[in-house]
Amino acid sequence: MALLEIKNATKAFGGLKANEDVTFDVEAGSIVGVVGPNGAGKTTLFNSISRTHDLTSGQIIFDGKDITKYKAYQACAHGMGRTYQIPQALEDMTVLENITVGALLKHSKVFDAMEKAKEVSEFCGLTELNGKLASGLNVMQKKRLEIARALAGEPKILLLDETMAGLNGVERDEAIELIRRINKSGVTILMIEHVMKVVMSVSDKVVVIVSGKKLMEGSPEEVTTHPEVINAYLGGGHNAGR
Amino acid sequence: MRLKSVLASEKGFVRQVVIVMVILALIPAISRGEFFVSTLCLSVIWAIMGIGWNVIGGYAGQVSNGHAMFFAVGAYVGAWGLKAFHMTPWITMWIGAALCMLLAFIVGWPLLRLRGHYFAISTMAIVECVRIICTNWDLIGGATGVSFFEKEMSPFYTLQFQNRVPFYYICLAFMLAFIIISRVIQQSKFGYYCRAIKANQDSAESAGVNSTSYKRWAYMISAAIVGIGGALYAQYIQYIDPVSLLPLSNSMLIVLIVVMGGIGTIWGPVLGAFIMTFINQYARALFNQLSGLNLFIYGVLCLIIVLFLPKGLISIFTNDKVKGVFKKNKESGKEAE
Ligand SMILES: Nc1ncnc2c1ncn2[C@@H]1O[C@H](COP(=O)(O)OP(=O)(O)O)[C@@H](O)[C@H]1O
Ligand SMILES: [Mg+2]
Repeated sequence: MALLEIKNATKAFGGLKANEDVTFDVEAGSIVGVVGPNGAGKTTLFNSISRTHDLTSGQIIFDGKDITKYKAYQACAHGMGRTYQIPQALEDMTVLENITVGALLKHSKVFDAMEKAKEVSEFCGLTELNGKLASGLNVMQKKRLEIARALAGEPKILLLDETMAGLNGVERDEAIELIRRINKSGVTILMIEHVMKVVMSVSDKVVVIVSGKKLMEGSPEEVTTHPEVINAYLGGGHNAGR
Repeated sequence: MRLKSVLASEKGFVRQVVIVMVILALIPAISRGEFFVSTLCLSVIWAIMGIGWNVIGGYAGQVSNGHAMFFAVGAYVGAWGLKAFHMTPWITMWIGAALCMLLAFIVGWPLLRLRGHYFAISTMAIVECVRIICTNWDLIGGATGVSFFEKEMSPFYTLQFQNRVPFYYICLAFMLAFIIISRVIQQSKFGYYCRAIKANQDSAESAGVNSTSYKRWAYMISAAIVGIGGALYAQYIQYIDPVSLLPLSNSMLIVLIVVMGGIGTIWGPVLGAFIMTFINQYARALFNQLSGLNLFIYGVLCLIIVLFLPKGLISIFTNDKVKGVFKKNKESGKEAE
């Protein structure tokens, strides 16, 4: 049975259907990439899955539970971690405190949570920044911090929204390496990525979203060679190979 | 054993408590003048109020402009308990605090859904409603208020003292208790979650924080502490009415005290309360022909704080930068010599 099932997810903002009838599964232990041009509705889909907002219609089944009506904190408690495309760090708190907030989900004593946070910080390569205020970080560090905070809650699945955007080649390789390590530690990953190349290199499966609808899903090879995908990317002014 | 390890990890805080409490306990030795001691009592009562407000306004970041309502509930319960039932404030203050929690629970239900300025403004509106209700509710004294000076019973039963020095120490004991509670909150999961909500509510929710519930608890605890402050104030002043308890300026003074002293800090409310109360009392007493002088000084202080000490006056003691400035001044002073 799949860890996460998205069934006929539709989300309308007034007259605009940002997601329409999107259906796919995420197998436990896999890395699934979601790609699509800007404005295709990828972030909207993430917000629905992580329960930041309600679906207009459709269902989300996660780890055997129908979480369609859950609140965001309930989804999190049930094992869903997420990051934001525009990082939402807790600016007035230090890096370690940010991660500790995440760790408090499973360790209600602050001391224990902080120990866990230190581990996670180390794992994500943030240890040197532990004492720094989150407001003083650059975007790349903030994205890493969001991953760390989500990981500290020991999620079953991690939703990553454009973690690679704006990173240079070296930073991108580091990020890919981190995602692989997270996945190896047993966390299923669902990642949005605008940069096709990244998704292709790590994903077991890729879901292509165009204009709110699922265009297709398949292995990276199937997706990159599919004429409609190439068309959607090239037609949308984007380079599939970039 | 646990207590020992907690004390060991809280060395810094324990040292601060000892220093501050010793200083405050010794102050009456400077002068036992009635006016001076009264001002001290008021300062401590306002400090308690500030510590209470800080839980919701400082830690959880929900700026309430309506805390005078809890102050009034605490005061009314204490006043009527003594006047009508000869009940000691030692008991009625807890009844008042419980009522404050209940009121906060009910009021907080709709209001805490609002964010930022909407919450701030709606709390202001609620306290106006409470003022109008109290003014027109004859059973609790209406606009005339309640006067309840009791000379028959022991002052330790009524908390009404002719000589206010013992009362000062009683208030100080309460302040100490709330300082410790404040610290416990700050260092607990509850405190971390409150700070997360303050920093970014949506982000906190995604990290597993049930913001509605945590905000509600913060509001209720905050209300209870302010209610106790109100009970102490009632026995101090021995006469209460809606005009003195529930004006907007009271709600704002609580906020101002914390913002001046240092919002979201342990000692900020205490520092703020002493400074504001002393300014208030002495400006009125010494320059009574200049009736707005205290407000003028508040204004200037506010400006200074906004411009130079955005984290409040307490940051003089904690901020490395500010400390650095003082050190540099000293050093450059030496060089100049
Ligand atoms: N809260 C919102 N209200 C109205 N429209 C929205 C909202 N969020 C997203 N949209 C719209 O939904 C569409 C999909 O946006 P988004 O999911 O952010 O795309 P992507 O992440 O794929 O770039 C866009 O047209 C966007 O303007
Ligand atoms: Mg997006």
